Amino acid sequence: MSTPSSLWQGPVADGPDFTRNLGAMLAGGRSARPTLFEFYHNVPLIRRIAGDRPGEPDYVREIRAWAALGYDHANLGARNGFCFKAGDRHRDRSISLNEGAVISDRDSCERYPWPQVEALDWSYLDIAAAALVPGQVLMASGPGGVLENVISLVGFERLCELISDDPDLVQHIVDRVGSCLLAYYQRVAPHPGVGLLMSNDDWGFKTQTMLSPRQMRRFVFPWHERIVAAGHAAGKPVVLHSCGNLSPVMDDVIDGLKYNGKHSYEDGITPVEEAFSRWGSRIAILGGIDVDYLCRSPIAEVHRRTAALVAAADGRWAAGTGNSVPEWVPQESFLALIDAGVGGRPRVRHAA
Amino acid sequence: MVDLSPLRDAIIDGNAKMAKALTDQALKEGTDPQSIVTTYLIPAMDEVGRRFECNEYFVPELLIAARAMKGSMELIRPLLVKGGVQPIATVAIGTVKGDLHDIGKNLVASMLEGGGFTVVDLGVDVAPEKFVASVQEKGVNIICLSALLTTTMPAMKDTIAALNSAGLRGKVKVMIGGAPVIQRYSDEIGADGYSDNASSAVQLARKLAAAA
Repeated sequence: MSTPSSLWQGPVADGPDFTRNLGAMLAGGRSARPTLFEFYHNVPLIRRIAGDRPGEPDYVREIRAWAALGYDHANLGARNGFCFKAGDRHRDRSISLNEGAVISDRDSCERYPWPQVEALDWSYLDIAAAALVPGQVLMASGPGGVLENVISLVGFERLCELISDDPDLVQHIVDRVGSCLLAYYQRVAPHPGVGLLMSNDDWGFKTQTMLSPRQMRRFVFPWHERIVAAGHAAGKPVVLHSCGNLSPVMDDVIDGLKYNGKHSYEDGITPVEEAFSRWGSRIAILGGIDVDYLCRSPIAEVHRRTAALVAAADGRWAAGTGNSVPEWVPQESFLALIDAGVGGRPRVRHAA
Repeated sequence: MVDLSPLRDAIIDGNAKMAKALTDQALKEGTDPQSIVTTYLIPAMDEVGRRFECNEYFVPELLIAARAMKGSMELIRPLLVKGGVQPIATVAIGTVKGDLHDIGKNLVASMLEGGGFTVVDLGVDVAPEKFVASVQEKGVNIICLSALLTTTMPAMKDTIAALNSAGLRGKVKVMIGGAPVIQRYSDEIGADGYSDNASSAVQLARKLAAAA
């Protein structure tokens, strides 16, 4: 690998082409050229790539940055306030999944101000779509997923107790969350700027799923199945972003829920190379270069590992991180991943 | 001694009400509280741990079993203290400075308690000095450090350094765990052990306590 002073040499010269690349991979085929996948990037990185334009919404700047980096898609979360508000949590570099619970029983569930999805303003979708460059599509992601939001509203340990003590209440809460999320995805999926959906819902700890597979199948999966079906009904592929150890339920993800792609991998659980070997012929493996590895490994090693998987996957892997690109990921290490991930696609050199 | 197998089963099944009632009854009938712990409660939690390790049980079942065990221990603990019964070891556990994640830490604490250890739960966002103080003030033999993030993992190294600076490193064992933590990192920072789940953490703590 050459070692220029910075690996950011300017935008890729060939523009996005979702249909022939990431889209083809999600349809079960191969990408026509090396491509990338990511969930989100930190703001300083986005600013470095796309700069600042006065008055431009932050998500429009992000869309420009995704295209410049070489992605076929750009992630777009709900920008109209759609979310499930929980109580206050102390915040540091991580959060507690037990803090901030607002639902503890039927009364508090009924009093909770559930989002009124159809009453929200959806004009941000049109603004975002107008910012796309030819060949680029939006990936509509959610404000967390079914399980994540139930945990946020109830607290994880309390949820575990309720599953034992009052499973009907758990079902009721899950259904309220799931129906709101389904309404959101049904609303965004048909939009012409949206090329794919992401259902982002962390399910796993390091050694197993957060709930048992039986509990996942009872409470969580039926709503995911409906969300995927909503995407497919609109002709859009749907990818799952879910952290943690999902091995016990990967067959459900692929055959039952019918996700087109799976994102989020950790070296301490299932390294992406192993994931590719186990499931790569059945579902698109997206991203996966472990974030801790990315932070702590030499840049040349990041480049070598990424390039090796690009070559081995032959159009069946989209290069990216195992999770996302928070601010603590060294930018040059991430750019090494990108450089290897686009497989030598030429770049438009900066004039400076 | 009366057969308290139903107590063992109640804990394994997470039936807190039944576990507490059976414990209460056994104590009223004069059963030795320490034998209830060693013959029924610890084996029950060991079985829960075994099922957890082979993916028969998942975290919800583990938490419910731990809740049942704690209900029994609430009745038994005052009697153990009164009788001067010593725990296997005293463990201080906490999520390291800057990190607020608590599920893994709570699970390990519950399993250690069920495994016969006295647990001092220091909570989350725990500074190295608080771990040091726990050794100085509470006679802690083992420290368990939890971290969720790459960015908070260095606080594990800082805690070990603080124990060294305080001249306490030789008096206490340090074990670590958490999502990004691997054995190699444990070796790098000079911890005494690493565990990737709550059940194996109990086994490791027993090994470290025996070696102390």
